Amino acid sequence: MLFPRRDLDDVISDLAGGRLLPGDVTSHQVRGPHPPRYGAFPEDLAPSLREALAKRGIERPYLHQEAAIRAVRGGEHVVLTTPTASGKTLCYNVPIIDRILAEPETRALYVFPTKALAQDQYHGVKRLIDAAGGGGTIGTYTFDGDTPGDARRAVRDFGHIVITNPDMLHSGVLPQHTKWLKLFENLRYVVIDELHNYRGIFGSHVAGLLRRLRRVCRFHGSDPQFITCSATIKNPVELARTLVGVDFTHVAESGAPSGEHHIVTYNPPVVNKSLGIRAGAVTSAYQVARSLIEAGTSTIVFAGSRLHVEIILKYLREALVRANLSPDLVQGYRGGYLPLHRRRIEAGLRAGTIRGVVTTNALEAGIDIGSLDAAVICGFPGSIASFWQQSGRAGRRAGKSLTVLVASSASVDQYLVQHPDVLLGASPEQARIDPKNLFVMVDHAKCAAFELPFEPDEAFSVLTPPETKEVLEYLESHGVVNESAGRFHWMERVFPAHHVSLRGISEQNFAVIDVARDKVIAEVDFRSTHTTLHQHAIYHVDSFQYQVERLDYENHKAFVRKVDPDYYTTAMTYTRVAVLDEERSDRRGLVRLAHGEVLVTTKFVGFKKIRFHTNETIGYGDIHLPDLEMHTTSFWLEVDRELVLAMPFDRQTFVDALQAISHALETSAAIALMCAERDLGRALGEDAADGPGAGGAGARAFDPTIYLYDAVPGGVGLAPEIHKGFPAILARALELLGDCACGTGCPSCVGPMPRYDGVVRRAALHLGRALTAELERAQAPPPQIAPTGVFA
Amino acid sequence: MNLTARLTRTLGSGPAATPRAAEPEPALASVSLGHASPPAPRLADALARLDRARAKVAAFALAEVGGGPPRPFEDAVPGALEDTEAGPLWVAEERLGPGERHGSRAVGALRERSTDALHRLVGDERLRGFRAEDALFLDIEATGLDHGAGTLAFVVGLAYYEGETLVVRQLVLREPGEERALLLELKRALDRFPCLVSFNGKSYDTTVLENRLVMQRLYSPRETALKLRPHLDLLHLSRALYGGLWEDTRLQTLEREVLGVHREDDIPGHLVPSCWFTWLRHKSPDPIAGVVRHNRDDVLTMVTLADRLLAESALDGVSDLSPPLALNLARLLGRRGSPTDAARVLRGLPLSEMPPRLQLRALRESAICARRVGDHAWRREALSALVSRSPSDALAWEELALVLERERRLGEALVAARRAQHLLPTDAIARRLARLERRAAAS
Repeated sequence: MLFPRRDLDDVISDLAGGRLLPGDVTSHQVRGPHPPRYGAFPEDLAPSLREALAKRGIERPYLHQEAAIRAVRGGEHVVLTTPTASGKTLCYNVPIIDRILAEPETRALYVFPTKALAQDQYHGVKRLIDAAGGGGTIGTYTFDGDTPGDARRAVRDFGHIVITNPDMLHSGVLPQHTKWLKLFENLRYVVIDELHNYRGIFGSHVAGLLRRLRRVCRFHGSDPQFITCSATIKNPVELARTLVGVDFTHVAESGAPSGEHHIVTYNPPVVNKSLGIRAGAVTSAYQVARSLIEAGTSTIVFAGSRLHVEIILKYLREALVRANLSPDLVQGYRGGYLPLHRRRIEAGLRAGTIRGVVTTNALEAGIDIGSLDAAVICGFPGSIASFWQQSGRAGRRAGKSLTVLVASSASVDQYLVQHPDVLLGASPEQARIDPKNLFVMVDHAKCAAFELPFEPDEAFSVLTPPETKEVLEYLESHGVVNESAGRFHWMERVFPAHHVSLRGISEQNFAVIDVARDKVIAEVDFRSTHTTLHQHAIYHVDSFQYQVERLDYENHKAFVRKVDPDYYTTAMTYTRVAVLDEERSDRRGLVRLAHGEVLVTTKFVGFKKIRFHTNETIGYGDIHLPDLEMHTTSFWLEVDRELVLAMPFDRQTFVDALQAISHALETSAAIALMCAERDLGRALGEDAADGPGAGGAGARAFDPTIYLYDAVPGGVGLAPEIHKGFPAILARALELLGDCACGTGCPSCVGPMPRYDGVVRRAALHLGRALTAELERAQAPPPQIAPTGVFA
Repeated sequence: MNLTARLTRTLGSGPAATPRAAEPEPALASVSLGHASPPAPRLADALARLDRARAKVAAFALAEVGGGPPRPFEDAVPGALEDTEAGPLWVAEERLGPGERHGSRAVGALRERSTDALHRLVGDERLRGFRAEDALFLDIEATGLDHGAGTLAFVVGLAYYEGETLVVRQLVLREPGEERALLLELKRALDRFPCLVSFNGKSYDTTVLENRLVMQRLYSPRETALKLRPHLDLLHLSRALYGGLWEDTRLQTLEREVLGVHREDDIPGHLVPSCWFTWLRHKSPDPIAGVVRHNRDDVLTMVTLADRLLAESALDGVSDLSPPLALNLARLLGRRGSPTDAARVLRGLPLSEMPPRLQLRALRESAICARRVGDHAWRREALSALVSRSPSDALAWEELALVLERERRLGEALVAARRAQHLLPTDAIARRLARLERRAAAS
């Protein structure tokens, strides 16, 4: 070792004692260790399976494993919510393998959110089956996009346990269900792991997918039992029920032991006192990670965006090179990497030839990459469930481990790092999905019609029979289905599943091509393209920088060339909201609250060049890309002109104050609803193009409306909840504005402003109090519904 | 909630109520960004562009399939309605006497053809003693090239012999609801004839039909598993025998080249699905009539192609075959474990009259065949002739060295090995060379 040998204990005590980095350690919590609590296997468990378990050192199950095995054997649908590394897979593998040993016709389908996880699980199940002597008779296969064509037949005919992902189930299994006769006729178990992943638009899609799965099963005469596992969320049972459409039994209390886990929340130092600006989370996270890796601690760094991953990776590798070490000791890992690249990194982690990994949430789910000692979380990951998932990557096995949350300057981060009890003590958030999302519903109705014709009076998913008929008649008017004797048949030559992406992005990915080597180096989803692959953008792969020379928008290709710039680029966007339909509104004095359907248009106005390390803006450029439009749901707040005129400040200050309040509302709503800030978007009403000035001389009319909208097409139901809980959300927003330590307004409390001289902050607070007064003045206040999430 | 109103507002309204010939394909076929009617100028523009583009494609396809006015099915499509236990089914039946011709061949000729070598040529023991009377010729027209559960076979063309008469029986759907009757009718034919003959049916037609049988709950591994039946797939045999002779081995190419069939106004295969959708959407049956004609031609071509293939692979007529075809046959026989027959074909080739490239192929094939039948002298002769015509063929030199060494003609073997080593040095040749030099020195 070239570094002076320190160990994890030293790093923890230095960090907690403030000796490692300047800035504030706002909390240091130690959890565990917890001793194990054991139960017993059922008496009549297959002896070979019992021996196989014993050979792997499992003589007795933990309490929760016993409970789960009993529930599965009792025919119940089960949700498991015990912590990471508590042995959840055993809970379903044991009863399922036991059943297959007794009744070899039995089939099971395992669904994992990603291919990588499915691969990982495959090895685990296979080892257990082989040890139980079922290697020759029980077929276990993964089935995904990488499965070669000639192997697929074997999987279909001989797979007792088929391990796949939702996307493959959607486009490769269900549309071909007639070829999977053996599976569907005998399907007894469906395992859905990482259930908490299926929230938002992805979850809404998976709900549609699972209804299709059950529909196909019914056709083939099977009615499988669902066994699901989730990280800790507030509503696992409700989520499972909404996803699958059946009632679940909950197994929650863990009997598994855990090691001593230190959790430190860290706020980077204030670097500009007057503006309250703090050192960047990215730089601070890099410094924490570097200390940990130097101390020989295997470390994983989670960053919120690809860009941050690449920057931290670049800094860490530069540090390794300065220390005469191989830069390959630290690797990046993210969704955009090609499969082989990812497999290599996973293998390196397992083998220990890689000591640090920087990743987005691609590694958040439980891939078994061996024990990591420390997790550095750069910025609050947007949900408490994610925070604990990421934290759980460190210290899966017994022994000491560390999680460091490095707060960013985002207001949610600042709120949570200054109120660590909220983060560490709260019940985690609710996972929301909306299976009734029209986009999702129509997509899956189409896929379902391809799979099986709709029978007269059939009810699809959460729709009633008449609603189903309405959807089908709508599809018929588009020539997508054809009615014949009351049954609706698919009648397009295209394969509908190929045009429906479960991940909510129905557009095709863009390929990033290195012109020097004429090779595809990454794939980027459609929406990210607009901000990361516009012409002249600096695109990061594996800590190397590429400049986009040309974006072939039609053919979904970006041509890039490797460069060595001293800056990176970020796109600037401008968003406008148009109301399509108001679903509900109520007037409170001089304000009106409403929610409904909207069209959100995002324009891409240009990009900034930002220098590495110093973060100063060194230039601007144009983006020539079409606007993106999204149909979704929104909450909005309209302020009457009378109230505008009553404010003791000018038009521009009013707009700035409204802007500041919308920024605080976004944060407060995200905390109250416990969704990621990126799940919400905000915008102000647009200046009307004409109309007489309403205020100061010469000023144009404007529309004092704040929109908070659901940031996924069709929405997942956030808008009505903001509407319901608005008074509390506004109160929390004013608290954020008022309590901020800056005193003059800063990016964290009032959001991006041209200047921070205290005027906007005072105006925003004044306006906010006026709004509160209006809400309270209302004659019939709506029932005060406690906001869900951490403040419940 | 008024769902229909929300659907229309959110996802756009459907096509106009009265469809015109150039109806745009629905924009919904591939769901993209959500699109709203009122204030969405840009998206509306994009969608309008898309609709125009699709309309062009659709109009083009319709012009090609010849949309035609809406009229009753029976006015356009040949055939008649038959009553089956599962309801009415449209059937076009035609009976052809043995002397009637399709292109240059009589449709009854297949019955007289010897099929002794067939099972060996296709490598399927179940086709031993294949009789034309047991065969069910099968060709489908479907709504897509995908094998998915939603792909429908709307024309099932069958042909079989009743005595010396060839019966062509085409089962045609007028609507998806008649599928059960169609499949039951297919099942009756399957019960009568144990053996399938198709063109590419092993991968396409049987897959689609098995899917349909599963969907109608008529599938059983014993009775209707098409994939498990003895099956003569003419595509595979055609590829083996006719590969390299013409531009490709598609059915239409083969019928033109080997059967002298020339179709007029034929519907290209890729437009077949459009014909079905045109019928369903616009009640214009003329395209369906076109598909039925197309299918009839395909079926008759299969019958006569099978005859021609059997004629050309019968070993008694080998001397009449053109050299490239004879070479293909020999190659196939060799691969299928009949090297003696392959040797007979190869030895009968008029080598000196053949063009040089074909000579090389024939000599290579002969060397391989000679090794299989263990005729060392023939093998040496073939290899010697090969290297004299193609002196840079390192592999031939190497093999020749091996043969010569085995025959103890060490001096010649040494020369051949040196040539091989010179042309393409490998460790194996180097070892052989060293050994030969040792042996040559010792003797």
